[in-house]
Amino acid sequence: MAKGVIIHNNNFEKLLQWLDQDPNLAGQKYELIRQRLIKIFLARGSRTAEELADQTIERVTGKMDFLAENYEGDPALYFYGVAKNVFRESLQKPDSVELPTNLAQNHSDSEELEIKDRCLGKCLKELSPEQREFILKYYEKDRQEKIDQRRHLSEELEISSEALRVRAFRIRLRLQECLLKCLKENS
Amino acid sequence: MSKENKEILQIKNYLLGSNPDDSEKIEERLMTDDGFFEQILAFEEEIIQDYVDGRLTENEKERFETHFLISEERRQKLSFARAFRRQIDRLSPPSKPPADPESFFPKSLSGFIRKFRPALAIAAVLIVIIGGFLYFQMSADKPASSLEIEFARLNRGDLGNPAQYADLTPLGLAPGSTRGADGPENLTTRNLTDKIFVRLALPIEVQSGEVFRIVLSSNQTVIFTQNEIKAYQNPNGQELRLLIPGSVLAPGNYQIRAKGGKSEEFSYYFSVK
Repeated sequence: MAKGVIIHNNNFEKLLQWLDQDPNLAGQKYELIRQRLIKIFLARGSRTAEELADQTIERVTGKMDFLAENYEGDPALYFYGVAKNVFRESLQKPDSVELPTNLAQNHSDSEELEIKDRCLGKCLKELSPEQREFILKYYEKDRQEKIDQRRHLSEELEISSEALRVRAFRIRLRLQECLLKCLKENS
Repeated sequence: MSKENKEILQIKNYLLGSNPDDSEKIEERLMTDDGFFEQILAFEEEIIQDYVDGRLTENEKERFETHFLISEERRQKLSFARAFRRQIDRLSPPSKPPADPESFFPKSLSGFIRKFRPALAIAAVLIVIIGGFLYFQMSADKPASSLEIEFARLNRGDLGNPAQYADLTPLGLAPGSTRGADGPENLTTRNLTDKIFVRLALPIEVQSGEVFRIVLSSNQTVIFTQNEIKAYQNPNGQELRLLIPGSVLAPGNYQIRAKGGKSEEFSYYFSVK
């Protein structure tokens, strides 16, 4: 469970049961709802997105007895309704989180960059040849041919453009995880 | 606009925080549709990569820097995207690999090539010399390559914040001089990023709005040209800023000539080891 959230254990158990009878699935659903709430708060420009997501969950958990008896429909939508209220209320409070002045600035020095490049090179080598070829083609730089290239990939793999995007995303995630692991080993 | 493209634009605007009308519909779907949520995550990655690759519009770029990057996780992803682009550029095959003569020609010609190889080699050298001469003569008026068009678009943008290009190989030059072998004007191919951030100190004060034509050449052969390069103020005076593709820089000596509409031509020198 997220840090900083005080939820009565009994109510939290009820929340999980409300999400799914299978405890494993319920845990996954809980995590997904939290991630989605964070995305929504971020898209709305909140600098405390995680905190607001936890507040939303806390409020829903507090109403578990009532909800378990009376609520019909997708629980995720109930969370969303509460999230909208939480967000509205957050606008009344001053934003206490300080952000760097230039968010896009890269603070890496040349040594860090070199380690990062070496790690990422290693991670790319760890992909299967098919995955490596796919990701290289997908992100090839020539902008004029980029659209055609992706359409061609879609046809070649017989998948939609959405599925193509998700496939690239999954490989990127794998690379990001591999990079983090490698950087940790080198720190 | 197709339905698919419209939806892509809606999601992109939503993530960049500039789509209040459609946001509730998107959010409801985001909460309940697993596939759509994964699409949103994939779009996030694409937006970050598009920013790194200079593919966002000015307005999108501004929203990205002030709104999208409020999350630490996304800032980490930006750092990843920069490293990722360097790797992809390194690993992507060149668009036109050099052809092997024996595989390029039909088999029946292979024997002929073997027999007359010395004569063909001399002929090839002559063709290169004559071709190089003609190319040099015509280069001033040659049509822009797709690379030049692409970089012209990048250079038309605002390069007013050098910190934004901190992860690119920097190249700062003063006109007419070269430093020692270890000076900052000497780049090494090993450390070249896909784009080089070039800053050319101007020895004179230029009028606001004056733009320059930049010609990058090596051994009197023009490699890359850019028009409408803007002058920017720095604490010591003015400078031209531009991005050039790292891929055009092989080991060798280079000259950059900069000519403004109302000023004399300035030359800058550097080498790549």
